[in-house]
Amino acid sequence: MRVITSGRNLRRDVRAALAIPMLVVLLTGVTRLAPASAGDNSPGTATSDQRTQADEEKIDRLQREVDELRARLRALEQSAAARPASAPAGGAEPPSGAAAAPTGGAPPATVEQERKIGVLAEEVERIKSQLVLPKAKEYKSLYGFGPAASKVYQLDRGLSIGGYGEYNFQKFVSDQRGKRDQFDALRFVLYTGYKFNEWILFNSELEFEHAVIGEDTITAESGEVALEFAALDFLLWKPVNVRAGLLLVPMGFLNEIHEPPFYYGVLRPEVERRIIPTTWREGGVGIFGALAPGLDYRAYLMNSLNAEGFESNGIREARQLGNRALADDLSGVVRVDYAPVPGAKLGGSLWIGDSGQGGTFAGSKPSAFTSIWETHAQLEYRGLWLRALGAFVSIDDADVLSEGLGETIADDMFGFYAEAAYDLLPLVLSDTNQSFAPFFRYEIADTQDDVPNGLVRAPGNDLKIYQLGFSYKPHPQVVVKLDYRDFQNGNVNPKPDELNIGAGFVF
Amino acid sequence: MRSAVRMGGLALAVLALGVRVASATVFLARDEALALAFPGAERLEDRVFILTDEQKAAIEKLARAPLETKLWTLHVGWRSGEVQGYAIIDSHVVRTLPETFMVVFDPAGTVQRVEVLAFHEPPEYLPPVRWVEQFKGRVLDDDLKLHAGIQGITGATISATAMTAGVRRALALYKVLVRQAPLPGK
Repeated sequence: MRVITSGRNLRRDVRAALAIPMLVVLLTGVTRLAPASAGDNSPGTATSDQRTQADEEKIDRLQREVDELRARLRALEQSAAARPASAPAGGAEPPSGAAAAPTGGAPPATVEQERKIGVLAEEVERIKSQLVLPKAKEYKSLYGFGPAASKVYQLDRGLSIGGYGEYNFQKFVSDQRGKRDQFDALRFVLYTGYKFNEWILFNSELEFEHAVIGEDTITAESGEVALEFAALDFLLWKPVNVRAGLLLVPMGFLNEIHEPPFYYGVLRPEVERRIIPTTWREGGVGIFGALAPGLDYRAYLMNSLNAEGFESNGIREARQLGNRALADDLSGVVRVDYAPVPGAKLGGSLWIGDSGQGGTFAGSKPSAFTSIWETHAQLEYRGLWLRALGAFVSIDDADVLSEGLGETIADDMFGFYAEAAYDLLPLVLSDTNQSFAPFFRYEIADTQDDVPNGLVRAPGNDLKIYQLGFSYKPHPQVVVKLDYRDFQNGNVNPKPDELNIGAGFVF
Repeated sequence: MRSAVRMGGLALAVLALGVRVASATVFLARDEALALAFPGAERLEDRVFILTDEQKAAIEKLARAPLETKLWTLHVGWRSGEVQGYAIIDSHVVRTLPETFMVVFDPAGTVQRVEVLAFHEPPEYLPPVRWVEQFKGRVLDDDLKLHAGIQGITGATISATAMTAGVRRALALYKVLVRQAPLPGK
């Protein structure tokens, strides 16, 4: 009697085992689809997140259950096979992996069980992909203005968080002149973005510099917290989108992309500190987009610099950084980049604006028209990396500004750098995802390139730097760097050479 | 009155633009993507695989990337009674939000196309189309990796790294599950 009914028992056991997850799958599908088919306008974020999390947990659970079921099914099959009278001949092990495919020559019960597991697996897969990708789009016309994507499949989660950080150790090697070696927890940055709907996004960067904020330590002033950018993007049309808020001035390589794994050297190039005052951000509004494949542009109207901050060693202090910035004078900036093939990029940008901001210098109110332009080119080919950038600053009324500020403000400033790196690791390990790339950079930067008639150049500002080092990336988002910078800027006010060791990451 | 009409027209035009791109983060739904993958296909078949531990390990070794799930669907396009090609749809998290893309390859395991189907992070983290086109014609070999046969990209590194791993994963899945003899089951 026991022998005769064991096949039935087997089916009953499997049915019972399948019933619960099937029910969960169906319920999950229903709960997932219910608000969707109602075409709702995205309920509260907390609720959505909870629901998404709940969905994910259900999927995990379902997958575990499918695995469990499979194991259990095999055990049942084996025990059934061990009873000769109950198992028809030819009950071979199904080919592993092909869960959905019925097995030729298998007992009917096994075929049915495999089919059910296949159905379950498909359901899990369907729900899983639905979290990010709809099966089909639904279109509906809105006020006769063409098809609008239904909100049915809009991703509920809107919040996105990222960040980067970097630490360094500096050893001053020659011409120290009292400068002591130091460790600096230079930056920790959090990106926070929020997607309000499919075409309105917010993105921001909140930066902590030098670890301690609000109090001085024995040898250093307080670090700072700063909002590096906070922009609302309105994605209207691929060639023309709108951006507004506190914006990164789109000049050079590093002002917009400055996460440590994406450039060589522990510290940023001096040209992109002194000539292009990275990280430079101001309030403004503008448009951006892609005019053709590989051809991108940005054009912003922003508040201008404040000439009161011009110095003989550059224009960094003239940035207003979104802190109640004077906006009597505005500036305009345009940038164009072209990528002829993947890995290659060339482009340039031009920034112009009066920088006087209504201020009084030596009894007059100069407009201090300022222009900055730069061109850049980059080539990545296999392990090779080549990058070059030239930048030029021109300041009108430099004589009046110099008199008012009590130091020589140049008419012109100039900088250039070129660098080459090569990833050696693939030559040794063909299947590695890590990289080890030595690099060399040559830089010149002169913030006293041309000074007003009758004024003397402030010494020490004509820099020439030879830099040699490497970047080691154990993971594409993590970098350890070491380099040596040989500064040559004359004997009057020499900068010490540096040995820099650093680590950084982005996530 | 005339200026009011003009302003109204402008507002509607802006609205229309907004409406046009409202689907910006889901570029292609699943069915649209598969229609693109297998033009003129007479039949689409979904083959679901639940991997064994051995299969998972073998695929991870070939892909040089981890598999987060043992459940995979291989989409098969049939035309004139023959397999036209295969497609695998894969998702990963970029920063916090997911990206979904599809890898299409022929029966020889050569990539025919890679399409980003959905991208929920800000668009500056999305690799441009021309970068993605580099995968066309690639097979699963040592050259299929970033900074080798696939050129690097500045600004969308996380996505580029994950997509390169995803293409390797798709080809490795195909190689282990379809092209090689099934591994002994547990």
